Amino acid sequence: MCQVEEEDLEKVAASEALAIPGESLKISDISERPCIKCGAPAAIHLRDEDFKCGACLVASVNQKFRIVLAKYKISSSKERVLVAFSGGPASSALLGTLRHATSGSIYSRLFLVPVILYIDEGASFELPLEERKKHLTSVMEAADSSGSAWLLLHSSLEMVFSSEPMQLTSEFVGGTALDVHTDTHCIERLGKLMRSVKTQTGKEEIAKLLRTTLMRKIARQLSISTLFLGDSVDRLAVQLITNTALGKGKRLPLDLGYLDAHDPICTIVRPLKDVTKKEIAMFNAVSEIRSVEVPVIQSVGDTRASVYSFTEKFVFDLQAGFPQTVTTLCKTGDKLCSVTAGKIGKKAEDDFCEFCLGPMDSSEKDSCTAENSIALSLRLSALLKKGPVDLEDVMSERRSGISSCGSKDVGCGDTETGGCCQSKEKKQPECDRLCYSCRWMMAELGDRTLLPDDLASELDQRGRRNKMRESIKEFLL
Amino acid sequence: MAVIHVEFAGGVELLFDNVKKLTIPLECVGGDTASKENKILTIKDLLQRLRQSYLKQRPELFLQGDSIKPGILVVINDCDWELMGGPDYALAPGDTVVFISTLHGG
Repeated sequence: MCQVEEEDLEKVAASEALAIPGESLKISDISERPCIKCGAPAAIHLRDEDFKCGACLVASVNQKFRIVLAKYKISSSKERVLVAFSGGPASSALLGTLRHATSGSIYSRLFLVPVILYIDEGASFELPLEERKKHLTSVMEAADSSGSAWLLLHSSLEMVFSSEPMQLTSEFVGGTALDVHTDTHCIERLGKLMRSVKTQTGKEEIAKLLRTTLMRKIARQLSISTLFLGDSVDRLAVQLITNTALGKGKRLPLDLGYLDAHDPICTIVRPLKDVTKKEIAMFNAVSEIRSVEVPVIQSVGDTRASVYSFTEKFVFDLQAGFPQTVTTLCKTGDKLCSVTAGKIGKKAEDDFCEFCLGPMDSSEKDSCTAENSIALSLRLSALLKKGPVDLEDVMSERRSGISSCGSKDVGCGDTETGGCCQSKEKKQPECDRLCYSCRWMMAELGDRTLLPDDLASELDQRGRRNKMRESIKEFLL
Repeated sequence: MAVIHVEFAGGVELLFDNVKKLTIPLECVGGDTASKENKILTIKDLLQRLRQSYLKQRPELFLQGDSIKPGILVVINDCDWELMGGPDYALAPGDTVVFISTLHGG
């Protein structure tokens, strides 16, 4: 039989007191520890008993980069790769690891040809042109200081509105300010688009969508099929929660994975996915890699201004007390996949959202979607006004296809108005070819003609194609 | 004169009027009372001095209570501050303290 003595309880209490988060390893205990690899004095404490000196840290970051490339067989190719460079610490570290990998001994050298691309986003928050020129020059100088003769390209976010092939190169002469590739008409359109979005979250999401579209466009223009992004594990952990909060659950495997190959034109690779921001900061300090901080749409904003900023604060505050937070989030995120994941591989156009190119999540069959959950919640709220409700009944009605509460006074169930049981995103019939989060974005935007012509026309074209397919369906074998 | 070198990177400099490097005399770190009492000056004192004299906007983006905001990395003489004693590290003349923001957009 088990017996608990008073003495044992005291021991348990003492061990629990030791296990207070953040207190498990007191600072006095970890000072002057040796590196776990080589025994030299450590320069960084990563987690628990993981101490590393500067040289071992640099080697480990380079190693992590190479492992990702080797795993996805990118290291053996001699192709050109487009490297997104923002000037910040993570993308500077990405250039550092690339430089290390493409130089050195011929036996271990990678033969990739990096093409560096900087996208200036100043126009999205109406930064004066002079400021933008200054930032562009400093970013390009930072990219050039890497010492490799890589092709340096730059473009501006507003150029996503341009229908002509973009100018990407500039004659780089040290000491003179570079000219931003821009166009007054495109700046006006971007300004109008950004002003029409009411919330900061919407603005950030639109800017992200435009940035991805522009990068794809440039990759297509240059005939490059691989794009490297410098996303670190911390950023992906915040992105995981933000995506879930914005109803992009089905996109998680694409946004958080090492490789996102769902776009046939451009494969996105995240070689620094396993590297933390702390490692990156220290890697840059030890390797003397220069980074430039250029203000972006989120800079010096209120921590409650957008879902992303708020989630970032939440995750980092949690990380301060519980050092495994970010790792746990990312490891859990890696295991998440859609219940209808098998369909993602199918290249049928209808299964993909035209804007974000993610899998569609508005299927009625799939019960675990943000849209269905909101519809259920709205329906319950509407029914609760009438009296007590049995959740089981509502669920079974939903399964049998009844999706309105039937209130005559608000016209619920009406196909035109939608009624009280449909979310505002669902009420936009022209958006039925978009995923939930893109529909939410369209609801924020109000007018889709504000979007770049490519996106809008593609959407119309697809609508017409669908109609045509319907009409000829009977004649097809 | 004994001085401390302070550097800002990763976007923290935006809160300090875009100043990337500061040189602060050691006796200024703790204020008048500290120099009279011959007190040992720590990173905590440095943070207070930065808040009082150098921080230009939004102190909540740099500090949280008496300590640094989570997400901002402190590097003392090319070494992680956790290995040097954290906020209680006793400053010595000629030390270089770097504050690096790891928050997106700085």
